[in-house]
Amino acid sequence: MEINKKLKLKELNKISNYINKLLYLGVEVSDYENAIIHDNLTLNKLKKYKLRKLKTLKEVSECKKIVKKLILINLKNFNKENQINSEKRLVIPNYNSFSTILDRLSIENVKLFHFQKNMKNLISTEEINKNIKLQRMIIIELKKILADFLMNILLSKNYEFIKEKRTFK
Amino acid sequence: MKKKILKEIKNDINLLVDNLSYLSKSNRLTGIWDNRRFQEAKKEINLVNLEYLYKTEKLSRKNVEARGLARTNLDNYLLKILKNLKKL
Repeated sequence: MEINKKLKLKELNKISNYINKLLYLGVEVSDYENAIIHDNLTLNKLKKYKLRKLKTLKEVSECKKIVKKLILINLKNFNKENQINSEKRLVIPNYNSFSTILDRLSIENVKLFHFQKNMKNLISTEEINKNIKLQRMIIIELKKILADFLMNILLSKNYEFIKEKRTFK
Repeated sequence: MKKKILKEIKNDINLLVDNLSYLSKSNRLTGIWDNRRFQEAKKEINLVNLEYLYKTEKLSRKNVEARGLARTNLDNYLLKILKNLKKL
């Protein structure tokens, strides 16, 4: 791979990492928020959850700033290059679209969070650690897929996808 | 002209990033309420709390819809950003 492309991929990996972090933090905030609203928490727990939610929201805000900045920098960098007429890929919803990759990454983060926080009384520590390790492996691979995807569309400056029709209403 | 396009791109990046958070939230909440419905439905029929079961279904479905909306928005904002990028 040429050096220029390698450098670009490194930058896109950075975006991919921060997007992943943002998705994980989103899971955490939602978990606290849901418990605060629906779970009849004791006063102590309620206070604890509210504080945790606030702390995580601050992290979300910081992370969002970084993701936005990185996206803008990369768009500018890629825009200096000529558009490459790469092979047009048929992008299918729920298979290889941008949102599908993000959705998968988001779900794997939900599972990771679940193994880290909610399984302590249900399975052994050894099993939890095994599951966490597996989740992390999946997430690493998905982050690479996301970075490759971004590389391809930013080089071609082209993203065409089939719009799916709803079956149930 | 270029300034206007750049402003639009920045705005779409903001919206795209916000939708990443919505996606994450809806996936987590779908998981929670889908599982709570599953646990409630495991009980013998006469022990099922119908009101609670209804609540789990409503909240789970609401978040499935929110997830679909976030996903559609993510694809659309990316498309819009790339189209505007070509104009610069």
